[in-house]
Amino acid sequence: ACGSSDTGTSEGVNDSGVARETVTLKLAENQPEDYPTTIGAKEFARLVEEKTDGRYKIEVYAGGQLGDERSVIEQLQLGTIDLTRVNAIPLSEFSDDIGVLAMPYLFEDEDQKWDILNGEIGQDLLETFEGSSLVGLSFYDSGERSFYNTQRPVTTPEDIAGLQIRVQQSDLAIDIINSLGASATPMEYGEVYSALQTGVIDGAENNFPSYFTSNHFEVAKYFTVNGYQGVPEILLSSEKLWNELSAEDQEIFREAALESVSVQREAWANLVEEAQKAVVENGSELVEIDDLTPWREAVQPVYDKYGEQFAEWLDRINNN
Amino acid sequence: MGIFLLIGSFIILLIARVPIALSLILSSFITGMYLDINLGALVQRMVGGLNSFSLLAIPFFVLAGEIMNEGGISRRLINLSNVIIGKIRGGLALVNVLASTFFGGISGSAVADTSSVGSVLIPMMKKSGYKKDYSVSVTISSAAQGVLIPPSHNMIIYSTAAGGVSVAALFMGGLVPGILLGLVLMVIAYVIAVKNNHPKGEPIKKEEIPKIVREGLLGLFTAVIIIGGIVSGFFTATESAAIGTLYAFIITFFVYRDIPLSRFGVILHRTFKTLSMVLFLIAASSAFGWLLALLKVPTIVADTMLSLSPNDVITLLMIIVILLALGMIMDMAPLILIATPILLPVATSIGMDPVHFGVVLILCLAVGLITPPVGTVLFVGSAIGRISIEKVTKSMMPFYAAMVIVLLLIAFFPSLVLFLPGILIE
Amino acid sequence: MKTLKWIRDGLARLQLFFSLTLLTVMTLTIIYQVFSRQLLGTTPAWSEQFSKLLFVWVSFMGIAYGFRAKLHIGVGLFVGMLPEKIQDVFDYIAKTLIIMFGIVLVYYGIEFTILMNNSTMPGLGVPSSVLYAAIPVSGFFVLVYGIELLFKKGLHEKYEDISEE
Ligand code: NA
Ligand code: NA
Repeated sequence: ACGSSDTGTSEGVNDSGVARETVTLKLAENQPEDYPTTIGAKEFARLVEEKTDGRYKIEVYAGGQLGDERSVIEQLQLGTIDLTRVNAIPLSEFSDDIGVLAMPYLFEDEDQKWDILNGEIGQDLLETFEGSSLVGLSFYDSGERSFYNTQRPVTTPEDIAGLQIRVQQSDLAIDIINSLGASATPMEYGEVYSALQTGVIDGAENNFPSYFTSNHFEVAKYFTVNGYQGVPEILLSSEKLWNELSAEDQEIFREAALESVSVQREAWANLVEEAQKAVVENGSELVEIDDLTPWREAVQPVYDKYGEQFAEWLDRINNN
Repeated sequence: MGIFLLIGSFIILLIARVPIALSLILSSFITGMYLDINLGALVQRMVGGLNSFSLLAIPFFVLAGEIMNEGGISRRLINLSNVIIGKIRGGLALVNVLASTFFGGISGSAVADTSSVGSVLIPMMKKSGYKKDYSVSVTISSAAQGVLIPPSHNMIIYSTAAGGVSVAALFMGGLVPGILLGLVLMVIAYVIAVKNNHPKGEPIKKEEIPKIVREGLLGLFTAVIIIGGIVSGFFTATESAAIGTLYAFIITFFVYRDIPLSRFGVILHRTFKTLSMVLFLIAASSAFGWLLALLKVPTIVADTMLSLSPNDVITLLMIIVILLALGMIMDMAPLILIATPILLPVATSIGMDPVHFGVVLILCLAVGLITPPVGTVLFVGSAIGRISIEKVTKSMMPFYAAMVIVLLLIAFFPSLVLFLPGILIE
Repeated sequence: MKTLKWIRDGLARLQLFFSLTLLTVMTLTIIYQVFSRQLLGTTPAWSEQFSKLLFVWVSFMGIAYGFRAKLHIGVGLFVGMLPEKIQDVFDYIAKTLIIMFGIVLVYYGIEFTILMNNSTMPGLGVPSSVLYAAIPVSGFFVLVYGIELLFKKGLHEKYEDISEE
């Protein structure tokens, strides 16, 4: 009943009249049912089922039922879970190249970003998982991360200097904050609210929806819309499943993944709009930045340090 | 079929007296093989279940408890309680409850409470003319009450199982119900004392009082550090536990100085022993719970319960009855991990706050610690009192009644739980 | 026989010493992390991940040690009512299961540890295998202690023993 059974016979003719067994696949998603990435994953599931005439059915396990992102990736490597949607950050521990997506101010703008991610460079990046028993299918949107704090409106890097900013646990994240003259404090996400409230830290960074759903907006009023990092989400298949698919079915899965991106991005845009409205209504001050140049310049030390490691990809992105 | 295999093989192994944690993981392996899942996945889930920074608070709570215990904290808390309420009729029974409330503020373990407070007070109570079974009953019901008093590693396990509910809010949420239950237990003990003409406590020499109070409060300050650190947000739960442990270490070896520093090896060893039991249960339940999720048990249970129940009150009662029943036959830590993902969605769908549900869950399972057929605290208490489980259970009736009444109160009056977190954390 | 006993006890003592060392280092790491953040104003990127790594190791060492010290409690309600001879039979079955559990941990632990050699642990940069190696190592001790239990009576520590220690 569970797991992907043998798919060897499913090649070729659809209308031979032979009743085929439906293969049920498991897709793990750590966000709730109504979250944009879950909506995207469900759209992907719907498209696969439709395009394969029901030969494949994908069940979406939302809400982190099957483990956190990191565990799920490892389960994919084992082949016990077939598909998942995870952020690119934890994936950088599985493919060195994918870490390039975490570089600050990487893209010119949204349009350039999605042209690249949905295009050839994106496809090549998705192929860097070879050797990790993972197959990348497409990128999903989780917006841009920006800084927010309890102290003051921040418009330039000078304004943020000296503040204690919570970051995720990674050397790159720490280096970015430090390059701005602020002080990076790695901390578990669940601790951030009370740490902001009591002044253990002065600020944190995240996208709009998380700023809203985590209630951090209640204690940190100043949100600087300077989208410094836009690490996308990635839809992944296990290599085990991938090798069981026929070439045509592989093509169908890729198509479905790419087609589901627009539905996911639309859901994301709606969520950002809602969240933005809600935090403003609750008294948050949005500091809009017209010119990102001082910010781009401030993070140059990060490029000096990591530039070589990601040289190939940075060249391709910049020459695009 | 997978579901039946998982639960069926687990029950069979349990009945065959295979260790609980081993039964959980073996039934998972058997089901994994049936479902054609690489067993490596289940092994990975064992690690995954432990690989969380919040859970690191557990070794510290255990260590702090062991340090204070070995260093004579139980005796000091008992003395302090004696100064406060010993003079009343039934004094030793009341002291027993109060000392456990204090003890609960340092350690999260009801078993540790029973064995340390119990091994001092049960013999004392017997000598003063209390009946054996009653002495054990008071000891174990108040030890179970201590589980609600922060800090509590069970709350941390719940916080992890519920996907990161605030530990600070849970700790504050448990405080009022814990104290309320303590008061109710004291009232019962007093009524029984008057009825059975139990003795008043021995008088304390006036000149000893300042020392007793000072040393008692110094020990209790461990609780203030741990809870204060978390609630103020100054420390994370794990960090608070670490600092509290450091403080307990200093108090024990440099202030009380009942034991030499060389005893620390023994303390560490004992901590490790306690940890090995708890952590195996956590690891094994994590694999077991993962299979339940894979088999969609949470969805099935939630749908069934909600379709059977005519209204929210009945749903909540159903949740409580299920938890009490499961608590009777299983240990606390694995039940928290297994029941939370199944029942929390049901609870939130009837509008229950996750903090409120957590406190109700912990109290239900705390009752399970002192009910037959499987009740660790009941077993330990009976062993210390050298009395049969049946006899203790009979004399437990008034205390069971009290606990169920308090349970219903906090279940149906959420503000008892949510009031304190509301003012302190929002 | 004497040499065998000596090796066996030495192994157990070594394992205990190793576990207690890990536990101590873990404790000190967290205390260092707090002081670093509160006094020096910086949180090291490695401390959280490192202490989690030690915690997993301590836990898995504890799983094995718990079998030797008969700490993992079972439900004796039903078996406890049977004659002692039959109880022993049940204990033998459980001990065989412990040995099988050890074998599974060793076999799948090694397989999984090798698979995880390609990814790294965040904050530490070492392969994830360092984390997962706790599984086969623990499995080895479970196996050894399980075999040892076959030659001992009983499987569960009595509560009296705990309280009077
Ligand atoms: Na407690
Ligand atoms: Na007590």
